[in-house]
Amino acid sequence: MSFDENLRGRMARELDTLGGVDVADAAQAAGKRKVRRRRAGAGVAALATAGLVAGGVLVVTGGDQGGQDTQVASSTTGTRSGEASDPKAADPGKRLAS
Amino acid sequence: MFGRSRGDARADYTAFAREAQQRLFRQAYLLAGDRAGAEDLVQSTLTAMYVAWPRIDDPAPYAHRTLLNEFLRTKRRRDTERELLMLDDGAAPEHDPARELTVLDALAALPERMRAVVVLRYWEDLSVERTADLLGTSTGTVKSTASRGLERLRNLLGEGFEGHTAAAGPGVKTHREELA
Repeated sequence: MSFDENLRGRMARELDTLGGVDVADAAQAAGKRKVRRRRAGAGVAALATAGLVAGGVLVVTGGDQGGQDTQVASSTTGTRSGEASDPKAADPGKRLAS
Repeated sequence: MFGRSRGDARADYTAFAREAQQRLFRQAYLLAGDRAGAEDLVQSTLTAMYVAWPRIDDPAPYAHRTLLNEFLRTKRRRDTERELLMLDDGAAPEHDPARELTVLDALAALPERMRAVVVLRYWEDLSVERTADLLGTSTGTVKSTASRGLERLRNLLGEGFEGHTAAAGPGVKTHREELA
């Protein structure tokens, strides 16, 4: 028998002497914690995104002036790049919703 | 997994994890070189599989790939620690000459990457190409590393080892590809 064939057999016999292992339940518990943390993180991210979107919608629609032509805001503050971040600067004729 | 309830899927995971952990532990022990390291590897592998379970089509090969990746990933951390502490190449501590060296001892004495090649080629019985793919290296490197690994083991275990004619243990495959 060649060295490497013999090697595999010896590995197997020595591994047989090691006894068992029982980590499956601990691994499952750790996995559940990871999944819960990811879901919680995704929930926070979703809320933050929703807040940004809501802020953007308020700027675009001007609150209660839904029937008028609207101008798409380039940012949630309604400012174009380079301008001061004054919400009224995007369109001086629009009022933000109170 | 498609169309099955979450409860069914988790029951499948539990059954798989309990059945696979012993098999994974054997591979992990060969890689890690000690019981604590092996248990950590198996647990982190099964934890990662729990998270990914809904996406896994074939758990058995996925588990072995994940375990190897986890070993290599934590190897990078151990390498950094060794560099910081200016320690050796990851081989096991000096063997006590009063105690007969086991194959597992000799394997643990190999550098970690060489050990991984030997385990994948001669324990997992993978081809040179598959081993190279898993380790992200060339087939030439796998061949040379495997050859040097066997040579080191032969030197550590002594000439008498090659004279053993005992058959491989039950359930251990003896069929393998020839060394390329």
